[in-house]
Amino acid sequence: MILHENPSLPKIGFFKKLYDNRIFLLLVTPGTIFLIVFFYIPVIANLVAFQDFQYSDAGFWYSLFHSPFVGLKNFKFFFASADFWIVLRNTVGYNLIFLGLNFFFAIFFGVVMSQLRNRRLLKVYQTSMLFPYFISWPIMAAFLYAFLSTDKGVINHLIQSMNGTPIDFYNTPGVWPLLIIFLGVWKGIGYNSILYFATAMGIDPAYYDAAMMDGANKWQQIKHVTLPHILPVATLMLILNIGGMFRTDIGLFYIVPKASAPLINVTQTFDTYIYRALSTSSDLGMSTAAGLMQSLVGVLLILGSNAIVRKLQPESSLF
Amino acid sequence: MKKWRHIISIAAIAVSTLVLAACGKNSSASNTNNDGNTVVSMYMPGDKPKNYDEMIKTANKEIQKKYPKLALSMNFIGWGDYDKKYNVMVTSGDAYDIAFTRDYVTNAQKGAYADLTDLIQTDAKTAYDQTDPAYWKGVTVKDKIYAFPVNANIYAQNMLTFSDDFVKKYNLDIDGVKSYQDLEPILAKFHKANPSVAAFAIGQGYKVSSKAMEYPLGNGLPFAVDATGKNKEIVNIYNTAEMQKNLKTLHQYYLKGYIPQDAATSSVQYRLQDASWLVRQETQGSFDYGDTTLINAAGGKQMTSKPITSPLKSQAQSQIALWSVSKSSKHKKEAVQILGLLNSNKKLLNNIVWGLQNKQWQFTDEKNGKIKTTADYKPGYFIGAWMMGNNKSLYTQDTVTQAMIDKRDQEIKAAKQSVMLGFMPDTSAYKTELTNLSNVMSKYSDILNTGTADPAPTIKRMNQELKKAGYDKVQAALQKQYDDFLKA
Amino acid sequence: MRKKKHITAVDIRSFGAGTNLVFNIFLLIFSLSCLFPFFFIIVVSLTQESDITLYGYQFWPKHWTMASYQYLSNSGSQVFHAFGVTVFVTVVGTVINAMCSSTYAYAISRRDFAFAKFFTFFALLQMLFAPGMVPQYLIVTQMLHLKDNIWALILPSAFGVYNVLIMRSFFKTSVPEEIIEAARIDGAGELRIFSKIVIPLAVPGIATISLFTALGYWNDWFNAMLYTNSDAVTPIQYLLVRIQNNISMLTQQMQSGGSAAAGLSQVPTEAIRFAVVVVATLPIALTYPFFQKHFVKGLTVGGVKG
Repeated sequence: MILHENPSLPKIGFFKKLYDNRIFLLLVTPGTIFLIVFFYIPVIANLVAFQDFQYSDAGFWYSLFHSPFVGLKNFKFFFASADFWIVLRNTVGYNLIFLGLNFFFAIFFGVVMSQLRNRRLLKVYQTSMLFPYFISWPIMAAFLYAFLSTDKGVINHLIQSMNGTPIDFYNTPGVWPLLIIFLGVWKGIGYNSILYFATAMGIDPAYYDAAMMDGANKWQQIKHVTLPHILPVATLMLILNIGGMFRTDIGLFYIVPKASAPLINVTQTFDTYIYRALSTSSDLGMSTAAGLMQSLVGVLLILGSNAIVRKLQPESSLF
Repeated sequence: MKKWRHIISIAAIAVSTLVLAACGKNSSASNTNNDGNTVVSMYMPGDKPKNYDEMIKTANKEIQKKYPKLALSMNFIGWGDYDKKYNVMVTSGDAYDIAFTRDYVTNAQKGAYADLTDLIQTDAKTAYDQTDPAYWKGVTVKDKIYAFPVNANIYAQNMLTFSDDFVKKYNLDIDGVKSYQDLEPILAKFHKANPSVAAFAIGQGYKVSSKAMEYPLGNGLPFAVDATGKNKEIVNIYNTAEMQKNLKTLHQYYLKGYIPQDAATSSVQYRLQDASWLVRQETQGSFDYGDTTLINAAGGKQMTSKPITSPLKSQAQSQIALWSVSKSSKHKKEAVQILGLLNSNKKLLNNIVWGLQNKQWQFTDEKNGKIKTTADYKPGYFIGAWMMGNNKSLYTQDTVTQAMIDKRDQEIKAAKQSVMLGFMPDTSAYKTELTNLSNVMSKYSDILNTGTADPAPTIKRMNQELKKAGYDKVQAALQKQYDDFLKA
Repeated sequence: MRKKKHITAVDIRSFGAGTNLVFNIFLLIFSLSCLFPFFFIIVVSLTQESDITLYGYQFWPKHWTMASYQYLSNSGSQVFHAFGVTVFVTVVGTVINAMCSSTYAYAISRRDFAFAKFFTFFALLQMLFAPGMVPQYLIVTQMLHLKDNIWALILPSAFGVYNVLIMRSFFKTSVPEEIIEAARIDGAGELRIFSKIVIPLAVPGIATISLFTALGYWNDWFNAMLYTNSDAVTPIQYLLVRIQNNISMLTQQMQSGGSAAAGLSQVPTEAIRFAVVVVATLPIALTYPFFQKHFVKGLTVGGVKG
């Protein structure tokens, strides 16, 4: 153990540090190699967002380092749309709602399931609740279509048999925000709740023992034992999910509403906007710029929320 | 024990990743197979034929008769993924040799393809001469050729295709049909008698045709020009009298129920062979021998088509099936040689597009190139002729008479060239405007073209948004480029 | 005098009987809602194709048929093979991922790792930026030479930052420093501490991330689409996506007046598409109970140590 760091020999101190921590360093080696190969090297290519990319026969990397820089030109299209505010409202609005609802339900279900008496039934429930995760959005879109189609949908058949006028769902914006929110939350509950279920299951029963000794009833136990134990993981997930505030799932916002034009004001998010904009001219610089925009906002949000968490609950913060 | 296993496994992973990374840097892709032949790789959309191994062996035997050290290898990428993967290949500078081209003009202007102009003259002259000159005009960008086009339907017409079963059953008179408007009585009669079947089967992505208009930037954007050359202005297609009339007609049809109510969002496949449609829109050219190709594709179901556009050799048609060579390809000369062979050698081409001789087809008259297909001729055992090679080299089925062949050649000769043929606009300065315009069009294209929306007010709204998105700027630039093009 | 009820392990962490019933019913209804679309998928996979075009998707088709599954069993070898690929990739990938993520997470969870903060940042950055399809493609194909190689499906996802963070959280909360200190005083080396003490405590965590990783691998088709061409390395989800994309792409082509000969005949039917969904989903969904066993195990282990 070094008592003082001799400032004139910093190098030796550094190498000693490496040696002292050698086991830990060994442990992080595989992950580090992975990150370098699959992330740090490719991420350099984000430079394209600032360039007018030119092909060359010397390959991609050559093109990357020799294409002319055009500053923020590729970012213009992102903001220049007349719809920018609608898109912003939709993206952030939906994501905030999803954040709240997803968390609430995931924790709710996770805790409830951890408290069930019958283990076998529990397995059945959890397996069933996982199915929506496997159903990709195109399939869900087809399923929904079977209900909502004007000509052949089940709902409209019902309406017609009662002599009503059929509702053209894919032309009626009003109902879609609710539909999208419901579908988005419903699809993720099973999967999201697993984490909290596992955490809750890992709580040492001694805590519950102690709580019962103190005369706590079931709800107080949950409030004072279960929830605090889940809090660190939940906070972590919250911070991470906040970073995705500008990202949405094209499956839910484009494929499920069948890219219907009349619904655009309630379904257009940044991702669908980018997708539609680049559909006739897929430009590498622009699509990279768009992705970078989303990432940058994400970074700021994560930094911000992490700072807040660090003040309130230092153990749960990301860094 | 567990500890050692941990150490070993972690170390193993680390080492193997490093080794992989290291050996990646050292070896370069050497494209020779065991026999020492040069392998030319070819990428195309579609599914790998079930008889691929035999097919490629036969093909290579034929290729090696002329080029003893050459071998072809085909790689198939699913239709749905082709665009994305192709994009990645091109952008990453992948050293593929030949690939079925997408976004030809943009990529060529950006320098993604090898310049084939000279190579074609030295190594594929026969094929070059056998290809209709309109094609060469349609692929020349800044006086250079960057792709080899497949000589097939250089001109095509949009047709209204009727299902004969329904026509006979309800005694529908389709003889005089020349336009969307002529469909009215037919659709009315059919819809009354059979309301559950889609009378005019269209869906999301459908585009109404005009008699003779071409789209310099593709039909996803509204810029259009008169292909006959009478009018030299680049117009907004939705502002033309003809289009507005057609849209109004379709809107009427929609209101009356002839068009499915969910057409704007519908992705229903009205398969040719199903009894789920009365009339649909198809594209046909001379090599389809009338409705023969359609009927074959539908397994024999009888259909009749009526043209609604003029026969013009258009830019769009000339770019339907192009094969480009990568700028970073290491076998450019060999690639062109293979392309040349595919487009001139009858034996090579026909053993791919019809399947294998004596398996999927047999000669009925070898001298005249007449064949008959066997029961084994089915999807998965051949590659579509329209994308493979010069259709003129195709053997024809014995149902296709010499008279039909002569008619076909005459029609092609008689067809006029579109005035826009060869116009390659450079839009790199307007990327932002184009994306915004695309966005606007994505809002209106489907509801207008499927007749869902009332055209007049909708077009007005759309034009306002187009204007805000920079329509005028792009139109002015296109106009200037077009005027320069016409002068040259 | 209050009679002390015999408290069982089940009682400690369970609802009273009444509440239990209420929640059971609630969960039952919710689970049914989750299964309902899947029943629908099964029904459609058994519907006759022409019915689908004429009447759309029905919940009780006019004509039932096993045609889709027959078709699948004919191209059976392709489906079976895709299964094999997926299973291999999932198992191997999950094992590698769990190991790499856990070791990394453990290291950065330890207060006495001098570089913990650095490596935390190092990993976190990955969450924030997307590396881009093209350079990843280049690295996998040109630098690692894994084009059309099954490892191209495993390695790119062999390390998960989410997993690392979750495990780090688990390590921090369920492995108190005291235990580690005690073991160190007893003379155990770091690696022994890791394998003999920490890992058993973290089993629920490892089971959790393994589950997520396995699900991720099972569902992944993106890596397959990007890096593979040949059927030999096609996983089942990609098979499904390929069919789906083919359908929508070709339908669009037909709608915009494309050439009829352009692969019309290659479009598989809707019913077949749904049959592939059934075949691709059932196996993995039904292995969930296996993972769940290990969450529960943590209870007993934790209890003993407590």
